[in-house]
Amino acid sequence: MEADASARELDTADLLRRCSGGDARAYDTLFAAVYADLRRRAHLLARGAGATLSTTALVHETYLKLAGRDLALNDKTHFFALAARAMRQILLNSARDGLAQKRGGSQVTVALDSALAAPSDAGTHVDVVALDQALQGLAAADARLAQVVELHFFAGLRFAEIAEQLGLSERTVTRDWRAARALLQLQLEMSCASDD
Amino acid sequence: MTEILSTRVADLLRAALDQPAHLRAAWLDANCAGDAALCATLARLLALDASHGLALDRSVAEFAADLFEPAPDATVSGQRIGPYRLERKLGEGGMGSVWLAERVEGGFAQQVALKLIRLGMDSATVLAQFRRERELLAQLSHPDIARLLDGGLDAHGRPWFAMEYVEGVDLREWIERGGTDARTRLDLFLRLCRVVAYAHHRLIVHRDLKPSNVLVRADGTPCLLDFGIAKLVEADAANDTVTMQRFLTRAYAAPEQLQGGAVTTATDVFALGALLFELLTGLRYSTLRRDDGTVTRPSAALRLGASTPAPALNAVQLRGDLDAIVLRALAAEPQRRYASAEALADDVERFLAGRPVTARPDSTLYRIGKFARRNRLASVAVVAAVLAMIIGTGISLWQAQRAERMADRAERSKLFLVGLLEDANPFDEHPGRKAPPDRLLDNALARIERDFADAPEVQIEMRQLIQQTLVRIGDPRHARVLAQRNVEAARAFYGAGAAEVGVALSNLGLAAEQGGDDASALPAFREAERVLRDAGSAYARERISVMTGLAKLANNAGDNAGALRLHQAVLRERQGLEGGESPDVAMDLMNLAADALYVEHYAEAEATALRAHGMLVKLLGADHARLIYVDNTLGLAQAHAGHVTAGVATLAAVERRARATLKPDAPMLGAVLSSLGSARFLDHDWDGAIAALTESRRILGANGQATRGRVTLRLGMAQLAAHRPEALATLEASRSELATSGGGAGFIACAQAAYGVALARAGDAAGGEALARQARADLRAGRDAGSSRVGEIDMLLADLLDARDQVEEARSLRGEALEVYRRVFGPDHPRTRALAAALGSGA
Repeated sequence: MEADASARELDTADLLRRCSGGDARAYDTLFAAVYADLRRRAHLLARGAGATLSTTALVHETYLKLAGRDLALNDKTHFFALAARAMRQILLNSARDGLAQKRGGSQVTVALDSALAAPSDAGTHVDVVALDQALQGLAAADARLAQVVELHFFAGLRFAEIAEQLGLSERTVTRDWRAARALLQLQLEMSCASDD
Repeated sequence: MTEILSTRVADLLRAALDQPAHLRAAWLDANCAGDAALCATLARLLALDASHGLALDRSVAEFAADLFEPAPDATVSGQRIGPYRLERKLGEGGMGSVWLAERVEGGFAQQVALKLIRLGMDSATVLAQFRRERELLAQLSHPDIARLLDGGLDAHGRPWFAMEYVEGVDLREWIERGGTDARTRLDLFLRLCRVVAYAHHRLIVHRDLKPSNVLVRADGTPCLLDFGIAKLVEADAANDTVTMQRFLTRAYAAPEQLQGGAVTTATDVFALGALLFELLTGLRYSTLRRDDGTVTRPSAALRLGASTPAPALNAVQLRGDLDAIVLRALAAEPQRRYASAEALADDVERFLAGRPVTARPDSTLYRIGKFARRNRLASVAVVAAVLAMIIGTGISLWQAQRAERMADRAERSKLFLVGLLEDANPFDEHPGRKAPPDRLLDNALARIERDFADAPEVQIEMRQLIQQTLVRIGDPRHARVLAQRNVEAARAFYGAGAAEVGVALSNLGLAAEQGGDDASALPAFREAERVLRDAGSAYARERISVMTGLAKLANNAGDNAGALRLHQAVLRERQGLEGGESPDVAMDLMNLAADALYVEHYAEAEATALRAHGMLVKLLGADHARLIYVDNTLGLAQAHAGHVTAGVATLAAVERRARATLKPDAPMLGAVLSSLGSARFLDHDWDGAIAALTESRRILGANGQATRGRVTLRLGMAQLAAHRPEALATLEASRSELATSGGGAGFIACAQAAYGVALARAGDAAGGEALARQARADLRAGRDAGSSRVGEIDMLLADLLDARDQVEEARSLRGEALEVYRRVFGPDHPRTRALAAALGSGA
């Protein structure tokens, strides 16, 4: 709640402008606010009955809370990129916390909803840390593919929104998403196999 | 091993995805340049692209929910919350936990259900709002609502509520225990609707109706828990709808709740629909709900769903009305749901009483079915009629071979009819699949030709059934094609002089007349009458239908006295057949009332129309589609008999009903609008009259109706009264339309006179006056010499003369008009009195 109070006093648009001007402190301030708000919401979710909720709604609510509705497209792009980064960090930190709690053994594996599980065993278990590493690898090979993954997967933006923000056609974004989705999956399956 | 996360693989994969699926294999061969490992990697990637359940198909929120440890609930029994001590936990849900608690302060012992909410609240404003809401809820006092007693925040800032403790099982358990029949469950549901309505009247919406919030006491009565509690918790929800969704049970939440839209009483109606779904099927609504909030029809769910612990009814019983009621309550858009919880309850009661439900629009076949189910005896007749239809006459069932063939045919006919109804089912939840009438018709006709090619008599009966339905839903064009075909088929199969040919001709006449082609309808009806005259009592109904058709043609041609005679003969024949009162007798009375209108016996018309109206309401209920016809006549009669306000009101209601029931271009809608326009004209509401008449003229024109000329005339007169310049053109059009469709001398003269007035206003005073005078002379010389139209022309001419300063003659003409009005309308009629007052002579 303290994070909220301070976040309300932030001029998000101003901070975003300063970020794009290379102001690292502005970036850190905003990142902390977004991180705190997202984490608070995610935390409330976790305390609920366990039903699923869309990332889209989660991130958009944070956006509404911190930025209001009237950011320019460019600032909006920055905001969602930042929110995606924050969400990715939340997942990573939580996984590491869990890792530490469980006597620092091997990596923590997140079991996904068994009712939705696909026939392939490899697809049903996802290692958050491995996913993060794979995503770093993807960013090195093809920055745009990684960007599409961040915005769609972590920030929950729809393809049309991503297309608008990156100045691409929706068709291209969809195609990029499909490519990245397959590449990351194969990479995860390979790293799993080599770990065993 | 190929490096997967490389620029090269990424680029190749992108390019491969851009290829059409069937060309990808060839594309890979051509572009992997002999690198087998690369080729295999890409093939694997493309296979992954086509499969489901990959890592990135999950949602981040799922990760988060799994990663974060739920906060441990430290609440234990014995703990004090406000003035209460917790005894034992009764249950746990998404919103929090419920405890049996006992009041330990205040000097009296009281057991309560205490609900602890998980979500923390810590701001003063939220707390204030929380208190206001609580006071509001404390006002709910109803035996079927668990009363809110107390509430506050605990030491950790978590809200709690103390509610009246009710012993019972929740609705889910009650359903699963079984042993309750459909009637018991529907009675319980009705009681739920009523109690929700009680709260709605006090402007309180439950917001979270679900099976676990409905307790059923040992005596079978329901008790609603948590009324309005969701609103209290939502106090902090300005920007936090996501958070709220966690606390609301999503499975029973209406789409507008999930989308953060306005929560209204319609939200509870949705949830009631979900409860009804569970009560009927025994299935959990939540498991069948789709992502977009829609749900499978209850009957379909039962049929598909593997097992249900306790359905109240089987799929066949659910099909139709109950499906429709549930789907209407569960409509995604709030405005498409029942308007209130009472409206939902009313429809369930209608279902229980075997009456037509409002969730289904009027359709002839539906009502036939409904009628058959309500009347056991009648349903025997329906079955007999269907059998007769399928088997045909003169076939001996004792001939075993034939009997077999007939059984086969009966089965096929039944399947056909079922298929037809399936196609027409307007409640299919996939609107895209709803068959439009044209497609439905084409399908039906194609199937008749194909499936029954060996049975021309069955084809004839089926075409007739469809064709009659088409006429009733206002599609005479298609009906006529079918009727024409049936005349030929009947001649070929039964022989030219057979009674069946008369039936086919009668149907052709009806379709032609409805389509405005009186010239073709007349010979068809006349030949039908000749063929049917000696066909015996079995064809009495058909003769009635033919005479009714002939009477309508007589009216259209201006022979009102001839029409009246035919209608009186019809009424006699009908009462011989059906007794003093029946829906059809009511229709005959309506026709007589219309005749009385045409011959300007307005008081008689009103009385007869009222009789018809009363009879129909008594026999078929106040919401039957036939009332469109009867009330159309009634409204017109009221307006002309001097009860203008009542007439306008009647017709406005008819208009609404017609729009809801008929196709937008149905001739009957045109007729209703014409009546409404005339009544508004009598009410001096020129603009309203012009609007209705303009639309009427368009509809009737598109259908080529003979009555269109009269509508045009009335429209022109309304425009004239409103001093609209387009009156001139409209009246000119009315003259030619009336002349070509044989509209009757009175109307033609009226059009002539009104046109003269318009002409005079447009500048040609002498020419206009000459036309009007000629029209008056024509009228007085003809059959309509005694008509009120003479008075109308007198008035038009008087206006024209006033403008030319011929005041004396104008006054004398108005005096003559007054005489006509006194005779036709009676001395107390508003029109008579208004004119008398204007002339200053006293009535």
